[in-house]
Amino acid sequence: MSKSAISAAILAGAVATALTGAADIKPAGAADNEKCYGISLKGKNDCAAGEGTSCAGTSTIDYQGNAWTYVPKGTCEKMELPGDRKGSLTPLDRDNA
Amino acid sequence: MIEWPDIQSEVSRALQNSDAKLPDSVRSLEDNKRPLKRFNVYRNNVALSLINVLKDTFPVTEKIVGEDFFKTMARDFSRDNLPQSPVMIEYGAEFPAFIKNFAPAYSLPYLSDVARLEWARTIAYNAADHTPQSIEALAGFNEADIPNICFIIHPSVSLIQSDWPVVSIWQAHQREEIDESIRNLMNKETGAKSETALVIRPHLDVLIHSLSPSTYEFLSALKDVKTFGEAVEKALNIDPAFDIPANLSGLFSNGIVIVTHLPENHTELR
Repeated sequence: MSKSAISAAILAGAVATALTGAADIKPAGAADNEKCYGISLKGKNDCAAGEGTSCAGTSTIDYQGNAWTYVPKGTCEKMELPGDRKGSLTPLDRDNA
Repeated sequence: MIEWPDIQSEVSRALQNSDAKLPDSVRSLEDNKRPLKRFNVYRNNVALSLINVLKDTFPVTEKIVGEDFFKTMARDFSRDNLPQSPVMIEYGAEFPAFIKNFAPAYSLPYLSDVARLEWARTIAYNAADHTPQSIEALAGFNEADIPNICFIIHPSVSLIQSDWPVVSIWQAHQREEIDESIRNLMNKETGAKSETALVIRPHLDVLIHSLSPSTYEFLSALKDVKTFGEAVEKALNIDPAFDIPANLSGLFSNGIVIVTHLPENHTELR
């Protein structure tokens, strides 16, 4: 057992303090919850592939050549991030041949 | 005569790769023609089902880049990362790392961290159930033993360290409408720009908490099976004002601990 640099007395004091203030602390969410079996995240517990996979006879997955789809069109532009870095709608300028 | 297992693997390869040619063994019963168009329907089903699994696991990532971009990114990923298991809840572990190296997403350097957070939520959701211990578990240790106490951390726990405000970004996307509140994700007063997340499912719900750097150090040390004394020391190195009692309370009030023990007694407690 490696020897800790912090004294046992300090740690014991911290434990005592934590225990004193603990009267009202219950573990998070320890309400009267009942586990409901058979629940799975949406789309993960069945083999049906869902919409877009019916036998339409066409492929909707061929994005090749659709370079424009590589432009993010979600919420990224709305976010102001550290370093004056915002989401961008022109991410590919430097990558375009 | 071509063997059945060979046909299976040939068809399987062709399904996964849209550039592969139609296998010889695939023929129309009616006229013995090569039904490429119909075969592509199956290719489509394979690809879309994987894309849909990723959409379900990474909804915020999708919101950030939009549907088209996400589909393209997911398609590229799934082409080279086929499921290794029939259990779809295990699919997508490598997606955050893929995003990090996905050139079109370079301008969104936080995207991969958001995806890591979403993957941690899936891990937590599917982790084994364990009832967290109450803080009373700390009572009754001898003072001399207290530095050597070890905590077994709830198996649903993940710690995500990011250079970006990853928790704030995730939270801002939990509303149906993404409004102006999403702006200013940097705390202008403190200048804090990076966030560290604790993901945990103590009972039924997956929870995400933002951690201070010292609390992160404390928790990751405990997760690495360091003793209480060692973990406190590491936390104090990050922040000399690390509040030991408050962090101990937090450890239990958030359901992070499932067993408190002295390593010598480990075998007995198992």
